[in-house]
Amino acid sequence: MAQASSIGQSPTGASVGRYWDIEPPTRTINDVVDEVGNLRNRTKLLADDTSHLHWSADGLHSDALAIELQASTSQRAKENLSELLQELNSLGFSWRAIARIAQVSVPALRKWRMGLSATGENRRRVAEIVALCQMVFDKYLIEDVAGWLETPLLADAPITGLDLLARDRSDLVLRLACDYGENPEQILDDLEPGWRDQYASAVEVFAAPDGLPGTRLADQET
Amino acid sequence: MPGDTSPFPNPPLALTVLEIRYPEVVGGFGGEARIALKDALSEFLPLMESQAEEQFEVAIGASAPASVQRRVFPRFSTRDRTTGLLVKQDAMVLETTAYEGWTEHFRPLVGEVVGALEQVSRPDGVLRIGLRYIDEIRIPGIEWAPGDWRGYIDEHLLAGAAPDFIPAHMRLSVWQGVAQYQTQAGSTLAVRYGPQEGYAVDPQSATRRHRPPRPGLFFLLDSDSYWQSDEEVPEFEADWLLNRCDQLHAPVREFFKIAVTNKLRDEVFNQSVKVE
Repeated sequence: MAQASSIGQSPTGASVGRYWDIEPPTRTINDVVDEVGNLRNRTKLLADDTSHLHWSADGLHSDALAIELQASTSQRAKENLSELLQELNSLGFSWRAIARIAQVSVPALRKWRMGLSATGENRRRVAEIVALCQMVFDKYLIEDVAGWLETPLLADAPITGLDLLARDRSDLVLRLACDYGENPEQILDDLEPGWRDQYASAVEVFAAPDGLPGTRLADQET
Repeated sequence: MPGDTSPFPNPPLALTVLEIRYPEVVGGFGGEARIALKDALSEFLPLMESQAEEQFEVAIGASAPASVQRRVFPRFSTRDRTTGLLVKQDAMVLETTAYEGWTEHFRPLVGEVVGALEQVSRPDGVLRIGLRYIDEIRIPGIEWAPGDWRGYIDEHLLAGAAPDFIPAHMRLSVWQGVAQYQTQAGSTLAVRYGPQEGYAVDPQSATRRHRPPRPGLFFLLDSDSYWQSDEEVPEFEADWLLNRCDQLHAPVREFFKIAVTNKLRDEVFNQSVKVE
């Protein structure tokens, strides 16, 4: 049998709870310093937990949106292809833009509009774009979806929402809509990790001594 | 009623602590306040070191990382590091392992510290004052837990460990006691007592113990006399604080007198050679 050598700090659990009422003692310097360290550790753990929770919630939300988009795509894929294309056009997309995000040529698109059939994969891609536009409009109140998708995510890089769709990254478009454009750099990092170097400009605009704007190489002093 | 507090040649006292809590001082004790405190205390506590505290701020729901605020507060000590003072935004702790009497030593030091604090960065008030004495009573020949302390410690404190109280088929292995007494309006004396092993006050902590005893069985007498403001928060004023400390010291001294026997005083505390 184990021999008790100290008094247990966690008594057998009972419904009475803590029944004594002795104040914590006057603190020594060690107590105060330990308290600070303990508080720091606890706060750090809480911060880690919160970050992890936020990360998990982000992932869960993205998964939920992806499932909703797929369900909606399946539903829209049952509709007539030419009507889906007409709907996209009426939203403000040019035929060239639609051809690009559908990853087909403009003549191929014209054939679909004339009623010729498309492959199942192409039909599904068009249905997904229509479903996506509907979700963005309904859930995030973006009225001019076509205009929004044609807008560069950042002034520093000529990448638009249409580019995301053309690369099959509807998940990033949904995240962009969901974040209300708060983290475009993160979206570009996910799409194209080297975008900063790729789109870095060799020239910059500066105010010349005559007060008018001029251009110069970015690393030139004056 | 300070006075009559000459320390024993072989005192059991391991640590004396005074903690004063106050509403947070805006701006803390960095920069100029720290230098002013150092100037005011340099005669008594000439060493100053910095203790860092980091505070995390977490924005719930935001994707931004937690921000960290680093605050530094001063810690003063004597050159032999047996007396230390920590000053934080919301509390100060003065402690010593080299207590040389209330009137002769600790009270004047308290006066210097609270006077300096009042001058440099007067807190808005006083929330709690705690005066704590931690005794490690070590008696030669009592070395095995839980120990037989009869004759040395007042029998009232040993009631639960009395052999004629414990049933024959039970054997006492560990015991501790705690009692809390109301001493005057708003003031309390909490006493924790009982046998323990090792040290109650770590000799290796930042406040050093000069020639610490060997670790082993000792009888702990941890007297915590404190006052806290239940209603009005009084002003942080040095004279008022010293008077209140006198009032807190008195019951500690009184309880110590009744807790230990004359035999313990004569055979241990008043022996000129430190028992190790």
